[in-house]
Amino acid sequence: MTILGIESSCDETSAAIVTDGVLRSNIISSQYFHTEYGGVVPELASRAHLRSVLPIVREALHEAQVDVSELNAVAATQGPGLIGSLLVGLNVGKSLSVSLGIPFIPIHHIEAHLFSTFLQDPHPAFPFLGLVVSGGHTLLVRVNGIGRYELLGSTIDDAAGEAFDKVAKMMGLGFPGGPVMDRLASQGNPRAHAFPRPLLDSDDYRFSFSGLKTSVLYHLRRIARDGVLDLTDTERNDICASFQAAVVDVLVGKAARAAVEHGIHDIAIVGGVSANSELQRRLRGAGERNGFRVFIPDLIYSTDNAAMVARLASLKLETNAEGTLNAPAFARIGDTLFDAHS
Amino acid sequence: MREHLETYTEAETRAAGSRLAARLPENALVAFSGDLGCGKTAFIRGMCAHYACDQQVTSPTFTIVNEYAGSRKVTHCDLYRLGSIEEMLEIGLQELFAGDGIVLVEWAERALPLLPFPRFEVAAWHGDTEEQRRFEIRLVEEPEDSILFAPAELVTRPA
Repeated sequence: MTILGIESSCDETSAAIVTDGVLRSNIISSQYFHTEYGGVVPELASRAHLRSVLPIVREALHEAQVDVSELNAVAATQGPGLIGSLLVGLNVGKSLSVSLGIPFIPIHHIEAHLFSTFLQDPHPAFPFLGLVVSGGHTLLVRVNGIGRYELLGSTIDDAAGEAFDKVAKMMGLGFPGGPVMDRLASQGNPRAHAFPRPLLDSDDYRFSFSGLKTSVLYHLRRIARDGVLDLTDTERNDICASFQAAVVDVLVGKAARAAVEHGIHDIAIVGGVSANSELQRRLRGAGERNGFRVFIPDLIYSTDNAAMVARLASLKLETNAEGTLNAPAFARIGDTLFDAHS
Repeated sequence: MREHLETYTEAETRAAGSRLAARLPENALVAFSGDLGCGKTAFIRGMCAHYACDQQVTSPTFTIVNEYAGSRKVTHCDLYRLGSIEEMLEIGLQELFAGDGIVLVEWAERALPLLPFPRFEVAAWHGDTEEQRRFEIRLVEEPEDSILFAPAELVTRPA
């Protein structure tokens, strides 16, 4: 069973081939197209997706040494995302499905992230908790099986990754903010500043990071002179470490409490922020104390990629899911993914 | 319409948003400019409370466009990550601005040439104390009336 997956929900165009559950290729536009700008160039514009999607699909087939006639199914991200961008991948996927006479499997972006740890071995066992932490999303989900998800809570304002990016921007650290913040924080004192831990002690699983961002901003404004922020390395590292500690305290605190309350033994942290080394270290520590295992996708599968799209499609086909062409693009997460009774 | 107001708590900022929402016509575009962390999110949450969809509000910084289904359709967009006007045209901002329902645009000064008239504008600033937020709200019918501005950022020493 060979599946082509396509992802174009936001900044990246990506295509991947999975055969019998094993990844054969995973091509992502930001790596594939080296640009004069260096680093990731957002492909928000659907025209940019349009330019790259066919070369990237061809490259994924080529690298996997798979002929298009050998495909058994094709999958693409249906949403949430930017409609114009989604439509590019979705329509290429549907067109291939029609012309090759093979099933089309529409994939929910968040659901694909939840299963990104299934690209590796070992992977979590059902039921597991999925902590989705990225630039656009922060959710805690109980995964009871394929297609059976219970939303425990999500952010009421900013996503965790957005907080990292915005605080990094305020401090002049560039974009994206996560990796540099991680590095500087490792050299700083996480107890130097007592930034707030929003909703840490609330008796639910909602998250909030907007107030934390503002608290760091006010700290920076207090120590700036005439609007100029001239931090020593120690000051800068201490602020990074203290901010990161606040985010990690909340994420680990809620995830660990959910694992204990639900009697769950496996947690997957997925999405770009799962690459944060302090988050990984602290959640693993909490796992050792509370008896849960922690699963983290390799960096390349934590950000947006088609490998997780193709992998989830293969899992769905194994559970006898049928293809459908009736799959419009959608912008919002919506309620359809989550069923409180699942 | 032209008014200045000051708020001292997040609840007051939300209430100010809710009051503006109550006065908007059926289809209205509200363009926001303001410093990072000066209450835009709280103001918008207050507006959406009036339209019974405040529980759906999250930051659209990464996703660019959020849609909420309340007593009215609310489209909430954030241009923070967008670069050129060309890019904005390509993702269909003009169509979005002309769409049905209430359209809320953060970092709207970046799309000044694309914003329709008439429109409402909300400019927000930090006040003299950490609690104080200042807002100016205006109905804008021609370019000269605009109060949108590019927020000042802290100047940082290169890392």
